[in-house]
Amino acid sequence: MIKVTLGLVMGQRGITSKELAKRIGITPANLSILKTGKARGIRFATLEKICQVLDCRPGDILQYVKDE
Amino acid sequence: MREKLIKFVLGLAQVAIDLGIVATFFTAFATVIAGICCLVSPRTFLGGHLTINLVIQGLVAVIVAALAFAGLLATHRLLDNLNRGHYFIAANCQALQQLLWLEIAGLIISGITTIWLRLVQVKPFVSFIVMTEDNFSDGIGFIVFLLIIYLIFKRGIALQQDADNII
Repeated sequence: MIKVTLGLVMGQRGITSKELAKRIGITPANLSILKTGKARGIRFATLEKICQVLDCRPGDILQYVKDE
Repeated sequence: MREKLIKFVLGLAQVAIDLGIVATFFTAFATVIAGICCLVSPRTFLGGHLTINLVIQGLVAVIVAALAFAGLLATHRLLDNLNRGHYFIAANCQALQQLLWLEIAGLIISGITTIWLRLVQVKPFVSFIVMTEDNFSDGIGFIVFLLIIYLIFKRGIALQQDADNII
């Protein structure tokens, strides 16, 4: 399964959900869905903006975890 | 250019539907008024020949007009949404479903009325309450058409919801 570690990276960068949502141009509600891993998918455009704002790589916010 | 043309055609259709709404409302209103007049003073309006047939025909006429009125309102809502660029939304699916049921109800009511009037060998008081063979095949064709459009919209809404879940 794909684990979303966006919250962790946000904590490391010291950025709030509200600010990140505003800077990448999505609603705080959608960012919350993304953070909690409830989204069905993520657009490349959104991923690009997140990486740009948080200065990270896609692999830092998305991780593959083997199912038990 | 193409979008402008589509908007223009949809706008024209909406005007036609709005005129239909007004016309149907007045038809139903006139039928009710005529019915009341006949009930109050059958001697003046029907030469004293107020029969149960006429009363039932009047009721059927009002029901058919009310169904047509509701159908036109649903079409108006659908066209309004399409004109505003809201294609695959739940409201459109509901409007199509409503149209489908209204068309089925209209077909059943006018079918029963036609059979009944033939059985009692009475000429219809108003023509729109009875059904001809052409009306029947057109009605069935329209129901199938609406069903296909409804299924397309339903699938479209499911796809739209899927797309909306991708952030």
